[in-house]
Amino acid sequence: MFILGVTSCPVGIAHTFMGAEGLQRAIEAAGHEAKIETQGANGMQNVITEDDIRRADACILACDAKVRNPERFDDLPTLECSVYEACDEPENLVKELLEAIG
Amino acid sequence: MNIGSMIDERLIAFDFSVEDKADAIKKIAHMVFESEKVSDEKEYVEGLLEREAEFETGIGNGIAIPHCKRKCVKQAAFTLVHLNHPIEWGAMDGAPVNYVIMLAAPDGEDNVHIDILAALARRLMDSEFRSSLLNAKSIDDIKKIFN
Repeated sequence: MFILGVTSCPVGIAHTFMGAEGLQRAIEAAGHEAKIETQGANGMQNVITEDDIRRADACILACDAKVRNPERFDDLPTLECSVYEACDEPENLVKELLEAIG
Repeated sequence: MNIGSMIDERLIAFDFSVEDKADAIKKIAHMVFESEKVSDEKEYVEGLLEREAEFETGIGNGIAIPHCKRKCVKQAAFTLVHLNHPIEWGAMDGAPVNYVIMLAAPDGEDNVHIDILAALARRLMDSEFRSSLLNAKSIDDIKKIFN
């Protein structure tokens, strides 16, 4: 499967990137492909494209600051959570998402 | 630019003595001020405390990453401070903290340095990287980790 993610945090210099790294590693460890966009102090990085969304199976929004353009993901099964969960227990989030989408 | 090029020896400490979290923030922020990374120590500490009030920055595995992005930061920086005894930091895993990586980011469009702080944050998700930091006993050991 192809799983997308977006991370953001209040200051945008630390947890945004830890969460992105956590999700990337956890999704890949579960045997799936991942693309995680960061919305931090350096703007939007690794931006998710329309093509990505068309090809994706699900999405994780791990955001503690307002997400930019969340409507992009309206048609995808989406798990919303705190960025801190993506830092602390990304494996559990991925497991929860995979179980939910069967 | 890479993470190693941003290391400032004045911001590395071993066997560092603090009483508690508040004392750690105060003393380590003072190091950052003394190394001329911030122009206003009081404002920097306020920024750090404001961020802690939102959600404590103990990220687990004995590490805390107090940080803020403020106008008073002249130059982006990070500290690598090994405490001589663990302190309570409200960490995500509930474990006490004995390593403080304090980050300072200027409130501007300086993406190069934000990218480096971001790269450092990403590496903190790597358990091997974390244990080499915690096991480092000298500035040379630290430099080896980043080069």
